[in-house]
Amino acid sequence: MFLKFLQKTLLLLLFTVFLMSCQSVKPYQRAYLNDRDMAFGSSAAKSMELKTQAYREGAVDTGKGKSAGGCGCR
Amino acid sequence: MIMKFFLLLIPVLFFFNSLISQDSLYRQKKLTTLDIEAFYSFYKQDGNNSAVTGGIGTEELSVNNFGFNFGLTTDTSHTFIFETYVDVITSASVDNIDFVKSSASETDNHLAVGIGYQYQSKKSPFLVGAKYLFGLESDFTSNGFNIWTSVTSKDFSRNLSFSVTCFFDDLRWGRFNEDEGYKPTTLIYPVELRYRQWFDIYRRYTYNFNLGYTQDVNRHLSMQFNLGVIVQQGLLSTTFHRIYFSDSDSVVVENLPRQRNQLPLSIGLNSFVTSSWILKAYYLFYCDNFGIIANTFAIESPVKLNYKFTLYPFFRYYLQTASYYFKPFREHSVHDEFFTSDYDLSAFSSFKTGLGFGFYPDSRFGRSRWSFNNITLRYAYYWRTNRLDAHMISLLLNVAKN
Repeated sequence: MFLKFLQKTLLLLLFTVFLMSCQSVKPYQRAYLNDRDMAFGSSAAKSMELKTQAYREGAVDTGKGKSAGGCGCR
Repeated sequence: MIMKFFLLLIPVLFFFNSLISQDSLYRQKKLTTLDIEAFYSFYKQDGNNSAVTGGIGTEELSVNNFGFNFGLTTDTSHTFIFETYVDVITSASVDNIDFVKSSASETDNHLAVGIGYQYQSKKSPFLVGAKYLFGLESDFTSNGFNIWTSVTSKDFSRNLSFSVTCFFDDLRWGRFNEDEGYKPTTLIYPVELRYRQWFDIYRRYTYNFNLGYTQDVNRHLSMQFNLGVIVQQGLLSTTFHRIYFSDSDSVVVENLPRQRNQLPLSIGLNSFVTSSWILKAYYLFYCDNFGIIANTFAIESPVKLNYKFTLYPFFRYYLQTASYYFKPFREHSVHDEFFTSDYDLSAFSSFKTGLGFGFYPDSRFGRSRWSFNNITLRYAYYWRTNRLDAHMISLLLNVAKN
């Protein structure tokens, strides 16, 4: 119970600290942020790994849960 | 001095005149881009806790996965999406559904298709999309949809997104069977337990809601938060999993509650550490009403060798507690209401590590409008503390036509 509370508090603190420290980034300063490897999300090359994790583990990732059916498992 | 001024003025006047002349020849052209991804993956696992035989026995399984993703974008606003993949699955444990070696239950095929459309407004930072999803296997049919929307700030530093994904599944078997008239007719039970209908339902419903927020912290660092809520209802048991009891010789089919509520929460941080080295850190917290609490820590660290070649080393650590309803082989009591010996729902840690290699030529094929964008090769090794391990190798090819 305490561990859960600690995790939630830590996440909230991280969120607040980062929001407070955000700098305004002008369009001509976005060279690094627009790099293809800085994008969030997964490419199709990782799709088998994500399916394996969804089927072989109890947890489901955010926005990457079960895809179009299959395997009858959970 | 005045002469020099006029000498300079004349070519300037000619220059502006040529610009005016070109305006009359200008034709607005709508840009169309076709983006194609082709991928192949091979997966091989082994373990010794098969739920088909009550929590003991081989979990040897291999999967060959082939797929294509197509994206056709017109006028930079409208994108038409078509995705499909096929899994060819060979499973030694599933072969034990009928205890006949190399029987029909040893191999299976799974087909998935997604057809969708996305609209991105040119005048406002708004994006919306929808996709129809279909999945088909010998003992499974899935129909579903995915709707998503997002809004980005004017300076592109913040993005808020929301998506809904729903699946409506039919778990009956018979679609690939000639004797059943290629129609779903029955749930598939272990061969010795087919003397009765263990469940009076055969449908499962999944509702997945996800809220995401992305924020650029500075020129080198970006972060993302995601909160998901997933509700599953209906038949959540796997009907060919066996349960053996400690206080009885009877064998029954796995039985799980008819509803599962899941809550994942994640945070990701992507940062350029140096001009050619990126660090991507990820943390996921998960809990559900089955009693599972899980934590995931993952790091991927792209290293740009030059502008064409990139290495992707990665590492992932996962830790989960056991479900309330899980017990190993012959440890359930016959008086339990819900029971499973599926080790996917047990307490364990898992590790995944590997390396990816990306080649980005971004070059055209001769004089054609086709370009070769990317080829990626990726290997991952996955290991669980309850002695299941797996190897995965994936290959991705991306080409585009402008």
